[in-house]
Amino acid sequence: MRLLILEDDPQLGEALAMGLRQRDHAVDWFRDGAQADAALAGAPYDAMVLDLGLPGIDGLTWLRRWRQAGRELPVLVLTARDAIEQRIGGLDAGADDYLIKPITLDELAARLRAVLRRTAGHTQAVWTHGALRYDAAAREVHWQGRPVELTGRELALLEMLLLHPQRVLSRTQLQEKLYDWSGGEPESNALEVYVHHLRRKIHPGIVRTVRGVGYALGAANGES
Amino acid sequence: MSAVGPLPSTPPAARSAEGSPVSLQRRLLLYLLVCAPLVWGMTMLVSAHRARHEVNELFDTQIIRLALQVQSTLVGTAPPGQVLPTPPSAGEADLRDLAIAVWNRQGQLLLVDREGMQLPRHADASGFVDMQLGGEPWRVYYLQSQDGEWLVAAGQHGDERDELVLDLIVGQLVPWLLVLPLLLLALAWAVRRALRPIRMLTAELQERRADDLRPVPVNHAPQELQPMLAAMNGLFARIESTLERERRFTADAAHELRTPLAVLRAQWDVLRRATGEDDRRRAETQLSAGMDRMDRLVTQMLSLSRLESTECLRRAQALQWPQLVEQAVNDVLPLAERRRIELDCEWPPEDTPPMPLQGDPDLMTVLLRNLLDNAVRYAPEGSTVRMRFGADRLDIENDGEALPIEVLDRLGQRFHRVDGQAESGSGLGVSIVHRIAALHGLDLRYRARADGRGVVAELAIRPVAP
Repeated sequence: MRLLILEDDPQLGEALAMGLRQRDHAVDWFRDGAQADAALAGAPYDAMVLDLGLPGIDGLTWLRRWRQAGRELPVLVLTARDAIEQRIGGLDAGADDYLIKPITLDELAARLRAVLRRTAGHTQAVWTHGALRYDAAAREVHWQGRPVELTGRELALLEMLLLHPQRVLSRTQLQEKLYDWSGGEPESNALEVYVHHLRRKIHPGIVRTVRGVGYALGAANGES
Repeated sequence: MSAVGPLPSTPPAARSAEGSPVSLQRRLLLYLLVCAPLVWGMTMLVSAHRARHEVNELFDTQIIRLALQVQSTLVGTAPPGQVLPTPPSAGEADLRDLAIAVWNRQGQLLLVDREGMQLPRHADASGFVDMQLGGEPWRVYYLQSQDGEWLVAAGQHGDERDELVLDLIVGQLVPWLLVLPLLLLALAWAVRRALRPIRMLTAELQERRADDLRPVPVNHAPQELQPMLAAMNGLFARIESTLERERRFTADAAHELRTPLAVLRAQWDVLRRATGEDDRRRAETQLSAGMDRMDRLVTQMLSLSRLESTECLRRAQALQWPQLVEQAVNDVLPLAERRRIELDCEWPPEDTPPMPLQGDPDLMTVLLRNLLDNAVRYAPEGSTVRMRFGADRLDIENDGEALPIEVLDRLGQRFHRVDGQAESGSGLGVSIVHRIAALHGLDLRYRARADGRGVVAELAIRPVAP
């Protein structure tokens, strides 16, 4: 999934971004609220990790602004402010979760998955779609009971499709979810390659092409 | 009850050198028990002396009167050798203690009672004579008649007087002794009652929680306790302010440790998962930087917490600024090298000593190093950091974008970091500097340089209050 980190501490911001990238997420890290605000308008983020003690305008203020502007992306507050009133204030300002530093990257990743599950309407940690089972925490895919080996990008693409089972996702939408701004431009046909891999490794019908629009999750009952 | 349970009523420290517990109550009672009998004994001696005097006077007068009466009435009317009969009903008198004898010129016994038989005749005696008769003390009065015809001797057994004196003393002593236990009880009660405020105070203090440092009410305490209570309240106030400082420091420290800890956790996690050689090396470098930061933060916290609990300088001596500056410059040189910052120091003219000050050279080096470190850390690369000594001041200035007044004002706040800095500092250095400056009677202020750019840390000797 594509994540936005807003953290002004250079060491922490960099480490968080790297850790989440190692977990196959596309991560953009900003040290300043205004930059993050601009980025939100320009890319479809799935969730945000927000530090509260920011230079200039405070993280909570930004959060309230975004909520008032109708931005609904899940926001995880990650802060050193641990007083009860501060936690309540953070949640009431629109945070979906309130985490106190320090926290392990594993827990942060798990919290992000949980928040995402809830916003996608899932409540179970293991998603099923026909004969497909996807364990988001273990990052394991089973097709008709047998394990399927997928690379990070392939998993991210599958996850994206599973998150929006009833929608056709455009090439741009998918690419924006798969790539952050840290690397160079992706190969123009990279997306097609990953779709091809998914079809080959799982089932040809798992991804449906909607010509001229994009891709959607296909029927997955195992029949060709 | 306090959380730790009641304290023993007499802690070992309150015991006297002999090892017995010092109880004011017991001590007061002991003094009274010793002193009251002593005083009574002395008054008793005085009254015994007085009583003996009075008894002597009384009995001597009676004996003289007896002798005179015998002389004037009995002699001549009674035949010689007559023995007076014992009178009936003697009341409480012991008549055997009295003796009377009358002789004529020839030594012939004219009149004598039973006890008078043993009185010796002293033809030329006159007045009182103390003697032993039959192994017992007698006091005998000899009276010569005018013409020397008769000699009257009236004697009295000596024990009679002693008995009377003793009776008098015992008569006084017995009621006193009978009343003594009552008196002691009354005294014990009075002492207990007088010491009640101390017991109440003890109970109140025992039941207090360890963090309850409210002053003890002084108004209702006895006058003798008031100075002690006032001193105790002063101590409470000092402990309270120390505790408050500690609490604030702990809260701040806990808050400030969270981010570096989060950094270390995340960096360690990244390193663990790093696969490629390059990724691995990069993660290692970052983890090392994260640990440096934690190291610096903890070191500064420790020195600050030590400084906060310091009330005054232990070993003050005249500061040798050139040595201190050299030491501090050496310490920040690596950072200055990395950021390509020139370091420069301006001294006052030859005849002016630079800021003469008594102080702790180690602490002052810490102060200089922190100020220099901050100046170097937050100056643009390639600029110059300059120290300028005056007769009563030291300015350390760096270059940089002009900072708003409110930002300059907040520079001295603990854990405050200037927004948007690439260098990660702890925000503690300035607090350390403030504390050391305060210990040395120096004022630290921040202002912009004369040209409006950069920051000048201005250290000046605090003017002595009039």
